[in-house]
This record gives sequence, C-alpha cells and structure tokens, in this order.
Amino acid sequence: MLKEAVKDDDAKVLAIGPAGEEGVLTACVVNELGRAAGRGGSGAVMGSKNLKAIVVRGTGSVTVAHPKEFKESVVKSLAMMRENPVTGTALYAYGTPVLVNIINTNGIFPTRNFSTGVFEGAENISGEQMAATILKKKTACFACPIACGRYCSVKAEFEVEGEGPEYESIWAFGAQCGVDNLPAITKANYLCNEYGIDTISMGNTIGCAMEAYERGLLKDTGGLVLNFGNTEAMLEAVELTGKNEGIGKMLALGSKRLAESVGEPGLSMSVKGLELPAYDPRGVKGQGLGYATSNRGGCHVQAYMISPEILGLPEQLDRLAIEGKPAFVKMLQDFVCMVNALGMCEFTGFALGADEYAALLSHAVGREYTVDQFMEAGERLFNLKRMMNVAMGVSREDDTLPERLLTTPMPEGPVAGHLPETEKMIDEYYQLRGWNPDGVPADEKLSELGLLK
Amino acid sequence: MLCSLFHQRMIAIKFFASFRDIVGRKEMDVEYRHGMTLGELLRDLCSASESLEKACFEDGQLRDYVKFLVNGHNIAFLNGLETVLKDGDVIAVFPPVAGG
Repeated sequence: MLKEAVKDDDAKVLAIGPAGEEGVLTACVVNELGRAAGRGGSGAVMGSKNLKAIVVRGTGSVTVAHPKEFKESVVKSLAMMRENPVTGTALYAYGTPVLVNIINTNGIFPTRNFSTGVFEGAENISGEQMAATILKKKTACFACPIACGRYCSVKAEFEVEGEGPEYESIWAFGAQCGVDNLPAITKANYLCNEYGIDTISMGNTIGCAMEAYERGLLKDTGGLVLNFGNTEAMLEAVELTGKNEGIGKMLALGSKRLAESVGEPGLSMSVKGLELPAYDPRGVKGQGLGYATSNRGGCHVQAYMISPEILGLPEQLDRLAIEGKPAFVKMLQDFVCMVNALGMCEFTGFALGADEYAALLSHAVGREYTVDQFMEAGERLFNLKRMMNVAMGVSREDDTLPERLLTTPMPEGPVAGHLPETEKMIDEYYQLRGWNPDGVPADEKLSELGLLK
Repeated sequence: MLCSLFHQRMIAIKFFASFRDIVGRKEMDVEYRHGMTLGELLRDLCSASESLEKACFEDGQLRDYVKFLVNGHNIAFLNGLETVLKDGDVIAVFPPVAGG
C-alpha cells in the first residue's frame, strides 16, 4: 500500500504495527525484511508522533574515501568471518536457538520469572528440536555472509509461518512463561511480529504477570487463567496487548509498572525499566554488571559477556569470578558502541576485532583511526549516552539488578548458591570509567573525550 | 545395602547440535570405572568413531570452542581432560555455538 502511494515498487518500508499505534510501551519498529529494532519502545515513540511508517527509495550510490583499500579490508574481514568456526559455520548451521541447551546446561536459563536457572522443558524448545520439526529455511539479512536467520512453519494447532523465533524469543515465551511447546512459542513470536511488539519485553512481562497471578496479587485478568505453562493464556495475553484491550492494557505498560500496580515492585525482572533478557546473572557475573550499567537498561548486547564467560570468545573467562570483569565490561561497551555506530551486526564481532573495524572505518571516511582512537570514540559515545541518562536523573541507584537476583541465591543447578556480586564491582567500574562514586562522568573525563564545552 | 551392591555405576554423556549427528544419538551411558578421567573416557569413545575424534581434536589438542561441561561446569575451570569423574556425573558436549 505504501509502495503504491509512492508509486515505486523498489521503495523500502519500516513501520510500526497496531501496538505502536495503540501506544503499547514495548512496541517496536519492524522493516519489510522481517528485522526489528526490538528494544526500548521505539514503536511507541513513533506511534506517539502519529508516524506509522518510513518509506525510502535510494537513487544515488554509496562512495567511500579509499575504494581500493576499503575493498581489501572487506575481503580480509570476509575471509576472517568465513574461517571462524562461529561466523563461518555455527551461526548458519544452528542459528541463535542452539543457545537454549548450552545456556540451560550452564544453569542460567531464567525460568518462571527468574525463580531458577534450570528449565526442565529446555530440550523441547531447543535449536535441535526446531531443526528437527518446524524449521523451513535459513535466512540472511541484506548481503550478510553469516545467515543466522530461521524461518519456521507450524502446521495444525498454532498454525503459523514466518521469521523466527530467535533464541531470546524462545526463552521469553518458553522458560520465562513455563512453556515447553515450541509451536506455541513460534505463534507468540509471530503475533509479536504482526502487532510490532518487543518479544523479550512481552514474554518477560507475561512471566511477571503469571507469577503475580499465581501469588494472588493479580486478580482482574478478565477471566484469563495466567498460570505458568498455560500456552493459550499466553497467546491471548499477546493478542490483548497488541490490541491494548482488557488485561492487555496493563501488560502494555511493561513489567515494572505491572509489578508496581500489584504492590510488589520486586516481581519485575527489569533494569532501568527495561525487561531483562535470557541469561540469569547469578551464574555469569560480568553479564550482571553489563545489565546493571547498560545505558538502555536490561539489555544483553551492550556488553555481551556471555561470549567470554560462557562461549569462550574471544577468550574463556571464569563466569563466577569478578576479578577483571569491570574492565572487560567497559571494553565491550565501548567496542559495541562503535560496531553499532558503523551499522554493522554485533555477530561480526565474534570474528573481527577493533583492528578490522578501525581499518574499515578509516578507508570509508578517509581519516585514519588507530585502534586506540577507535575505542576512544566508542568511549565517547558511551559517555554521551550516560550523560543523557544523567540528565534524566539516572545515578548509581539505577545501576543495579532486581532485588530477587541480588538477594536470593540461585536455588539449584551448577551455580546453586551464587549471587551476581554486582555491588562489589561497581566502584571499580566507575573508577575505570572516570566517573564519580555516584556514577556521574567527571569533568576531567568529559574534557578528555571532547564532550565538555 | 543390597541396592548399592547391585547398582550399576554409570556416567551419562549428552551430545548437542552437530555432535548428535556425529554419534547418531542424543545421549549415552557408559560404565563408570574408579578413577577414570574425562580424557580416558573421551579417548575410548573416539577410538570407536573417527568422526568424533576429528570433531573433538586437532593435532592432539581439543579444538577451539568445543565445550565439555561436567555437571554444568566447564572443564576449563575443573582439571581439563584430566578431570577425574565420579559415579553419576553428567557430561555435556557442545560444538562451537553462539547467538545473542
């Protein structure tokens, strides 16, 4: 329809769905190739401005400053990605859902609103199960050599076909809701794509509502029996949220406001109001610090410490140790700021390092970036975002985790008895950042980064 | 007492992703021998399967990113292939995987 309006079949569209139009706070923006800017409620922002979609048609060409050198850097980087066992083989072969079993075996697969890290139904919702049952084809983003995408088809009950689900979405509608039915999870993921809702925040919020319901705190559900494991209720909850109707009006506000409204703020598994993703920080302590200090809140990809702490990339760190973690988290945060700013996928970082990105950037823009300058630019970006948060009142007390995770040791599994120990790392993290003890960047640091007038 | 006398002592091995195709099953049980190490167990298994040996080792060393967990603990933080196994241990074997 939008392409017809601009009379150009080659135009590209990104749009919000009904959820964004309805002001659902966890609404996202989805492009026509099936990829979403999932987190943080960007769909609600567009909806609040009555902006339904953006349609673009490029007619010019992209130029770089040093075409020959740039091409050489691209060829070198592509070769590194092909030769790397993760980017060259694993992500294409298994996609992100393969993480279900390894994360569960490590005892950090958050289950039933983070009440434990071991889900008894993990095998039923695993990447292996997907490949054996509902996987129809593998997909890739534009020009991507990794091709980690999965496209699934479900027949009979929960009949549906489309992109995903990815690992995070499987977790959110799976273990977090006590559901071990992969077709039902695929349907929930599909509904989120159609309505334009962040799957992580949606599933996490439903899990929060299920705990509140089972504890008798959430009573007015309009007849919805929101017990853990109730697949029909879970799917109905997604539909109602997308339409902003009934109990969906409460779910549309996210887990923080939901938990506050039932008088138990501690039921919300969120940081800075953003719902946590699929790794329990009690058994990956650097990831916990990454969650706590993420500028946008409960997000794993601002400092994906799962990579060194669980997957062993680029080196294997002891996931239960805290020594050295603040420095690693800071480095990853700065690095990821730059990967994002370059418009590249973070998965390329499993194979490429700052050397490769700095070379690509240098040849593209025609200004030499050393690795140190590249990382400093990332630090500048991270501090800029922090200052925006500081202006909104964010301080040390916000750089934390849900009370449940801080005070209740993991009850079972290989990391039984562990806590995240975030508070023990935060002072060292601030010192490394050049921030004061309240988490505010010091003038000296801002001046060093060129952020002070 | 009688139960312990007749109890067959076992180690469980769980295979994931491509390892399931290589060994043709999700898991197997092997008889526990007192003092056995993970390395000994692995060499026994690999002697019966060239493809398993190739998937686990390169030039006699464990391949990069192949993960062995004993009861959910990465052997890198136990004693590597010299980790001494106990009756009832569960070993998980993963090829290189990633995601986010």
